[in-house]
Amino acid sequence: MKTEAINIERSTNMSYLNRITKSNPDLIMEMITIYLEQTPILISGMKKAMQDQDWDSLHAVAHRMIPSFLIIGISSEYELMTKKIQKYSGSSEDSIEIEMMVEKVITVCENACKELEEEYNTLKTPTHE
Amino acid sequence: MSNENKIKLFLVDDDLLFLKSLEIEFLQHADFDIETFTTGEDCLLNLSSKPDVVILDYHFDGYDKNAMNGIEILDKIKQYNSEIQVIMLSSQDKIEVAINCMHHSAADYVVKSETAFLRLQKIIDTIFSYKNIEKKLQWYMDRM
Repeated sequence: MKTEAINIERSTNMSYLNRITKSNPDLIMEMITIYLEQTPILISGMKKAMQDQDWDSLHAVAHRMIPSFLIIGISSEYELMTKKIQKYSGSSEDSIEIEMMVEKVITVCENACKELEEEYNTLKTPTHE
Repeated sequence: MSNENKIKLFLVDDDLLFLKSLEIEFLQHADFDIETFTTGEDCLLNLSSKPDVVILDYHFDGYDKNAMNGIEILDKIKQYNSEIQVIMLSSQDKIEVAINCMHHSAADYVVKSETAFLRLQKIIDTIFSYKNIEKKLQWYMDRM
């Protein structure tokens, strides 16, 4: 089924991180740690801004999220969504679409956190003595 | 290369992930003496260590409303020493942002993207090749 196929698709892609770090596990782990520290704060910020209809904060959080998508390999489709969220000024005609996009962006970031936690644990565990 | 001969580079961005990625790329690909700062205020406090180039985020006051914005920091760097070259970074690909940076004497403006590092490296190369030409010209002028 199509939905199952979407569910098993990964949200992240490590190729950019592998390229810039030359696959150095310590550097990759350092980058993952930074992502895992800053992203939950941004997710909460985005949820709160949407709830409070605080468009300045929504703009600021979306702006802050954008560069990380490239680094951890989140699809550019979500980058475009986040840019749309960033541009949103609170006009009522777009509000439902924006709310849906916010939900999608939050979901992809939450999935990314789970995947990167797994990646971190795999890197931390030595494969051979 | 000794630290004295290296290009001293300040990287200033409150986005820790992007800051770290830039630091890694600069350290992997070129010989720089790098210092990183997560606030513009910290960067200003350390100008006495004489950076040659500052790579500075444009959008500082979005998340922390009390932070100085990138243009204010750029102005203060230029007031301190106009010779310091400042390259502005932004995730916004907007002509107004680029023009604003140029009006405030930034050396250039780069959008945060996959090619940002390559563009930054090229801009730094250009800055230093101009500096070398100026030095040579001055050498000849002094002898005329």
